[in-house]
Amino acid sequence: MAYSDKVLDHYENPRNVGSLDKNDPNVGTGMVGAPACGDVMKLQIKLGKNGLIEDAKFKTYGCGSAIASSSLVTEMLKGKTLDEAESIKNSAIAEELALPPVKIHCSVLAEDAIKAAINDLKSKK
Amino acid sequence: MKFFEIFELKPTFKICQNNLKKKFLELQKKYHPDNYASASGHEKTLALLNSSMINDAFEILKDDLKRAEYLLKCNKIEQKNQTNPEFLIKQMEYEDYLEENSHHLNKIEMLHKEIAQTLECEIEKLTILFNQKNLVAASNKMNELIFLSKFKTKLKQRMHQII
Repeated sequence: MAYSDKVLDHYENPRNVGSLDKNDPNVGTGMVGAPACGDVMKLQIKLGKNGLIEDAKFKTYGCGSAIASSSLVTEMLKGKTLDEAESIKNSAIAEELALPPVKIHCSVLAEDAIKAAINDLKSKK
Repeated sequence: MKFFEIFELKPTFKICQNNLKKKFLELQKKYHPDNYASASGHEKTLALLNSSMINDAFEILKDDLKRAEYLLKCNKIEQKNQTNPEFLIKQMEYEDYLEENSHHLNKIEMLHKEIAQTLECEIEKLTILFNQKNLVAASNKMNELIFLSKFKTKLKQRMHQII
């Protein structure tokens, strides 16, 4: 199994690694895990006054595909509305990164993280 | 429960490791290729298959977590594909700690000790759940236990790298 160039690029130069203030009412935090492999993924989004996601950060401990999936997702999320963000599908992530079938669950994890972050944000409103 | 039958053990979580090992050596001896040097092709193949099944069964039964997973699978208890959120936070904290202290041998050793103790304590709790036949609760514990066990190995590897 070979990693695609895109996975490698995100793995070696992950975008938007870090944390946002989880107590900020405009920040939503999603924490998800893949029990089978012990991966853990934290995704945070910050909603701007215009209703668009102005910032996204992640922190992931896991395999290259899990890191690349969450890194890619933070790039995809910026500038989107919550509805648009919620409609991001794991298949789009898997396709963009050319993930092999055994790593599809990493993109599912990233999709779950988006949903968890949005739910957290909505629960604060 | 086939694996337990091979070793003539009751299908319970708590097993006697000495008995398991003794029976394993006995069976390996019985199906050793040397004993089948003059046997027919069919018998040789059969002995080989038995021998490899005994190995597989031993690998599963000697390991606490693998044995627990095997028992749950035999009882058709489906493993939840989710970890509870509080534990995920804990998981993230452990990983952060390892990352921040990845060059501090004594700090990693301390965490390793803590994880080993937690794991031991959780396996005790798992034993109780199996004894009470509370298999669903036992199954819900598995994800956390698997993480702890993997993380313990990761810490150990890191310790060896530093030394």
